[in-house]
Amino acid sequence: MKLIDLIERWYLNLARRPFWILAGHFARRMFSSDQPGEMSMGLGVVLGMLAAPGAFSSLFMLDKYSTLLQYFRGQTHFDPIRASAADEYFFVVLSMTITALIVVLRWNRLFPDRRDFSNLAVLPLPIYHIFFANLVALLGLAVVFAIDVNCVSSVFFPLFVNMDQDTAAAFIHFAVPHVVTVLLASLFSFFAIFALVGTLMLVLPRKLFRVLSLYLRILLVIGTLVTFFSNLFIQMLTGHVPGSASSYLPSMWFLGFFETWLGITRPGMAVLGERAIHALIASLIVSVLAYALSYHRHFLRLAEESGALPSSNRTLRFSIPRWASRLVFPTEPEMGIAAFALKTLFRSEQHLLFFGGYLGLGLVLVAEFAMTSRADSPVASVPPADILAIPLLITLFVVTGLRFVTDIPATLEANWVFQASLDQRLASPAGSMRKLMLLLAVPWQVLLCGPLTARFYGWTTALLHTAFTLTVTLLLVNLLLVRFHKIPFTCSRVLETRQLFVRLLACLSAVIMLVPALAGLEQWALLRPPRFGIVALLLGAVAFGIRHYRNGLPHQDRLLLFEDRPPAQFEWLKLA
Amino acid sequence: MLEARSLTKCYSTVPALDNVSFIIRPGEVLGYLGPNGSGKSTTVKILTGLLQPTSGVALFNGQNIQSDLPAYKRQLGYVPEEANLYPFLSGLEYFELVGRLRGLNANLVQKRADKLLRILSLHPHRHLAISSYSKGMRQRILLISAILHNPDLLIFDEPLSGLDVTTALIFRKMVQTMSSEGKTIFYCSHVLEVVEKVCSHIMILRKGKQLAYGSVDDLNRFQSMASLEETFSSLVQETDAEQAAGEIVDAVLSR
Repeated sequence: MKLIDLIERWYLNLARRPFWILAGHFARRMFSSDQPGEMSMGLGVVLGMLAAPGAFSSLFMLDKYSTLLQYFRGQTHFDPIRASAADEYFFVVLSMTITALIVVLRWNRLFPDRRDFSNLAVLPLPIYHIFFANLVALLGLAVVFAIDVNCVSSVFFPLFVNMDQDTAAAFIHFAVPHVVTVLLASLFSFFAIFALVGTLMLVLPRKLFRVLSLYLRILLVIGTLVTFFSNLFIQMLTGHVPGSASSYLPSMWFLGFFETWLGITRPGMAVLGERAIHALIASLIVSVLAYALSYHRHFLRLAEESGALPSSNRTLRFSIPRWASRLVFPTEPEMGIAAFALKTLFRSEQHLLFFGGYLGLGLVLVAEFAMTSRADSPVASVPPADILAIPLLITLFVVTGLRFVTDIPATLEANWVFQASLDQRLASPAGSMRKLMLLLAVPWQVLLCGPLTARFYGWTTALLHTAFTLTVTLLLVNLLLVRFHKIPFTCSRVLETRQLFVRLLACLSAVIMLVPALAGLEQWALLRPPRFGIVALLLGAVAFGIRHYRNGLPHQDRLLLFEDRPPAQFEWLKLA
Repeated sequence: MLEARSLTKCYSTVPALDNVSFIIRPGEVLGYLGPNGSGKSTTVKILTGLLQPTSGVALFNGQNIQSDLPAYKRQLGYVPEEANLYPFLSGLEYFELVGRLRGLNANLVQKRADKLLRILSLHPHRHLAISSYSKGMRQRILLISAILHNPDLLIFDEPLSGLDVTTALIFRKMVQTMSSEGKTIFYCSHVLEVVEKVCSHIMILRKGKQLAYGSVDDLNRFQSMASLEETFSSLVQETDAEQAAGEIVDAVLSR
């Protein structure tokens, strides 16, 4: 009892010290939103969400390792330890991916910024406290995330693998290497990206870093997703882990570490295991050094800068010749809305990250279609359905991504400018959006897919294929904009979970059913081009249906929306 | 007593502040005036310990503020020009954070914050996130957090920005009462009428150089002007306001 009291007193004393208060503040700041419309979750919710993928994945493995099911399947020679290598690889990749995504998404919060400077530097704290408190918060969070992402799987996975063993020693013999491996893999992922940020901050001029930072993050998100899914596909397709060709992947190094510890001897894996440890130590050293140096370079010099927030001068400048933009957007309001939408999309971190991540998923699926395409075409001049599906799939992800992302509000406080200056009778946000979507979807179809198809399958096929894809694109765009009556990025309506779920389900069904069906239809028509008459009739009917639905909308549904924030459905009671 | 002795600050080789000196005794309020780019913000940053001067020294109660910054900051209350607060904290949480980081007793923070929130009409909003606060509300939060620990020295950088008339009036009276309580106050502002009313002394800067320094009456008498506004205009005004206004209207009317 006395010991508990002592520990409690020690903890309370510690929690009262400014340094630990500051460290706690930095940890909290990492997961808080800046804008009222931005999604903000408590640390508890975040930790719960992060633990979920590992938990579900390990539960699904019961099917593979259940001795009873093996008995029913007639699997008499099953070595669970050897069979676990592929699953261990999955957990390594999963923990690395989740950790990497967290760091990339909270990139801006890794280092103390101007806001921290203006709030904390005037307080009676030694300036090195701010430095160390943030470092401690980061290291603490890295450890907490590593544990959280892997906590459930660290129990269930070893338990399932050792189902046929009834001793605790067997469980521990497997569980300890597994836990250590996945934790180290998570930590490596964290520190590797942190080291990259710190080094770039150090090496690049400040302005260049600010400009590049956003685009680098998008590349990292896409790269992480592609790596994750490609690893997953490799695993699913081959049934076991990738071979020596992929020994340059950090995830393979950690698998090597695991196997070496467990005593599974495969050629080259011990070397990979050593590489994992070296890489982890190197990433830790580089990240701490880069943090210290870039802290000195950036944070301590904030006072010498003007009062503007750092993000204010991070802009991507692009200009289109006036005649060209006038050709596409003939009226001033149309032009204004399109310019606003384009600039928001390419300059807003939140929107670009969402759009980039969504396109990344699309690219993974495209790669999958390309890799697994079967030569199912009876005629050489007609491409396989999987190849025909590729432009449709890219188009689907581009236009739905763009449509979804416009529902995430940008700075709502700036909406007054549209309300005050836009003539509702002249403005046609759906028209501007339609043109924007087509601008992002059509040029590459005509300039890239057309010539490529012509090169491999002849000009007739290329023309018919391009015409078909363009028509489907137009229909899809019209369908997505059927109830679009708002300035993009300005609506305060935050998507409900139910809506989000419906959209994801719709997109998934489109990928699984609609795109293959359309590609099949196109292939069927390409085999006998007069069949395109029937296809045209079908698509015409769809176009008519969309038009009919749009014209049938009540008048109030066609008015331009400028929603104010709806009242919260519930609020926390502050009973303290 | 706050004293600046020949403060000079250069960014690269460009001097932002050039040989500025003044003294503020307990109970005095120094109004610090100057057009944009005159070196006001640089002075404030030096006096709050955020920047080190290139040469010269800032002394508080005879001691160089840089010699023990945490001890100096314990006696300092600062209202910055920009209310760059943590948007995810509520007003009350912000005071709790600042109070705890200042090492104040939690009960004392709660008690004082509660009183000040009521006086400045923020009490009903104390549990709402700062992101939902208006500019004036944020400014009031800054004001409370600056005086929460009962500092001896107060530095105000455009404190009235965004405040409504009533709060601005309360603030003005508060400055006067605090100065009569013996606090040392440095007041940096563009609002000449307020400065004229609350400050005992005035310093006017232009391009980092000290143009005039003295009591309000002395300055007006010296410049043979009736008000501080006229004195200020005669010293620093570079643009003819009437001419500029005419040019603006011309630009709007042009085709």
